[in-house]
Amino acid sequence: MGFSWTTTLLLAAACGTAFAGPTESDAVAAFVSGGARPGVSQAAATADRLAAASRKLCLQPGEGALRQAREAWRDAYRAWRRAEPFLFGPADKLEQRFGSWPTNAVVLDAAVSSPEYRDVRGNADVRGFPALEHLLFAPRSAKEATAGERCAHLADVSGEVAELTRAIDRAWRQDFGKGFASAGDGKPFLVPGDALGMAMTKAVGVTEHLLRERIGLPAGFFKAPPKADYLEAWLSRDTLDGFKAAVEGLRMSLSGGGEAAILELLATKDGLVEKKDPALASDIRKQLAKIERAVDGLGDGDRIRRDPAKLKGLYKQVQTLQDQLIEASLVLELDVNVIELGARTQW
Amino acid sequence: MVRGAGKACHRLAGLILVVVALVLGCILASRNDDVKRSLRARQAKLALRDYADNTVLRTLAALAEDAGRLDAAAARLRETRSDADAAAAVAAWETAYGTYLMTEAFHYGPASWRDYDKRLATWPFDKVLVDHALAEMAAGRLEMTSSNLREENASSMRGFHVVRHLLTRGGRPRRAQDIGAAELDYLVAATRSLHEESVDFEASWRGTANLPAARAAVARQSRFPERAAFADEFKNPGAPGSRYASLAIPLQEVFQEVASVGEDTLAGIGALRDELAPPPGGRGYWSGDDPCADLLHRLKGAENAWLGGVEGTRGHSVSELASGYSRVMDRRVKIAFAHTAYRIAAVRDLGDAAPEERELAIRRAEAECEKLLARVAAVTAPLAMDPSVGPWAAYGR
Repeated sequence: MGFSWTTTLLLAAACGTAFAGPTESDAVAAFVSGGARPGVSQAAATADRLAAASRKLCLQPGEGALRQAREAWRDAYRAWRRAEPFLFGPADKLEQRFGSWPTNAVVLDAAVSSPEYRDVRGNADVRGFPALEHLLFAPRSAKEATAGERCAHLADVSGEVAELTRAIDRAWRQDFGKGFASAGDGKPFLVPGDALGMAMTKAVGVTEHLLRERIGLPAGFFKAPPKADYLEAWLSRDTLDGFKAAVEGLRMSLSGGGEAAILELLATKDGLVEKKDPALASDIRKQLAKIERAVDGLGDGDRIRRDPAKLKGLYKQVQTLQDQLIEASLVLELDVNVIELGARTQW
Repeated sequence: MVRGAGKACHRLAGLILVVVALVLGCILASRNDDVKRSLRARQAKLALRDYADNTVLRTLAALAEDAGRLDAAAARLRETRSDADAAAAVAAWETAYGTYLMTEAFHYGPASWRDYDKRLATWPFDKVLVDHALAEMAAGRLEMTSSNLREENASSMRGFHVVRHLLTRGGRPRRAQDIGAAELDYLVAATRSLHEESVDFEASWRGTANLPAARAAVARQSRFPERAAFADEFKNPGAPGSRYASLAIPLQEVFQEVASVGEDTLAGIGALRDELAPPPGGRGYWSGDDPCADLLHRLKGAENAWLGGVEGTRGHSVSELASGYSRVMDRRVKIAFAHTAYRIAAVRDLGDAAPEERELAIRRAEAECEKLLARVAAVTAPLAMDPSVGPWAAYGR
């Protein structure tokens, strides 16, 4: 009987601990171990494989090698999009070098057609993932893909992407990651909330990027006609997978690390002014799933390419998520850096 | 029967039409820019009204009452010369000084042109002159009264810091037997003048004619000139007799002063590095006894100004205006007030912690205060520059 009482008390104590919810420090640690490190490390590994596949294509051109390089691009692109919520801190300055859609196809084709145009190959609009997509997916054959100076540029850009992602991975594993994980000691984060604020700023930033560039512009959401060419990864028909990767990344950022994740903190911790909000935490989880279903409901990339205005429904779903994230930042009493996010000062 | 039912039906349809028209009219009116502007102006006017009534007047009333209690406590101490009454006088001083610090959120208008900050709390006070006066009093060559202090002497010889010096040493109440007779007389004169000038401060906002009977009597006995109610001018910008030509100007006063208190608080947090470190030659008479508490009171005054009143009386506020512009930013300002106060209190709670620990706590408090300033600044411009409260630079009209 005594044993069973002790067991009961121990269980109750254990349950009590489990239900107490994570601290801000726990949430920071969970973000690093369950989100940032696996996310960025996967991006680095897939970028390495893309660089290797590109080199292989150039050394042994063939349809099989081209297919493998294209698959490697898809993997690396999705991993990069999944890792977006973790590309801050040292990645801030590097992120632009991953490129943005649309790539400047005219200049890029000219730049790789002759050594004469080598100088323009350093331009931002002919580098990064968009340029690699164009180099790998625009040609109709391996022969075309490796013609002229294409291989040199392919190797150069894929090598740079791999190098950048490795640098970010290293930063998360070394100084920046350690400083982030031990936020609160003043080196450099004064309180754990400063680190979480950075994470939340980036999460809101990911939604803003989706709304403005990845959905809003191509869908013609801003009083301008739809522009299919602005669709990200349309050439590889990976647009929709790219959206889903973004949602997966946000899920890793907010729920990564299980019971100590940011959403658990939201559900269990009262602030000085705000009260914990388990309903909001649950709504955010549901909204992430809803966006995934909305992406699935869009059919395939070709359909979106023909009629990008169909993305307007998705825009509204992401907008809802963004509003929820801003509310979450308030409930968690975190500082979302409005300057970093651009013009929307009402955040 | 059928005709009756038809009539009722027509009446019902007519009623529904009227209701629909009213609802549609309201919706359309609320979308009309002029209507929106007028509603925002009305809201700004209400915010100014409640700010004046619930923040300024209530804080000044509390200051006058607290200063009155301090005056009474000093008189009691002179009478009994007991340690208990010495401690009670120190407690009364702490309360009154805390309330005074809350008035810093409106040290413009009368406070600016009549120098209530200097009259009530010149810092540091002139210890040499005070010691000289005490010696003269002890020698029987000088009799110090409140009117003498107010009218014949510099403000550096009276005010909260002089009273604190007479009541405490090293942050602790002095033993009653250590306080000399001349010091007690000086104390009573100083606390009396504090009380009188606090009442005058209140009169300058409320109007001497509007003071409650007890404080009106103090004002009369002190022979202060009759004060007109500055609150009336403040609450009615644009009206005849108000030196404020538009709503924008008193609003700017509010924002500017909240920001000033925030900046002073930030500087005050930085100064804690020296104030909390054990001074090489021991504590000076110029050092505050509880600098963190002082910062918290100051900040509370600014928070009251933002939230439209002292706790328990809050009505319309600039916070409400901020919320109309951005609900999110308004919440961030409120959060920043709470976090800044929390971090300052955390510094105080550290006690004799290691210097590195204290430095980290001070940096945290500074960071929170900087966030508060940034957030207040972010909402100030759009609110003070809203077309509904213009003209914006209406001085000299």
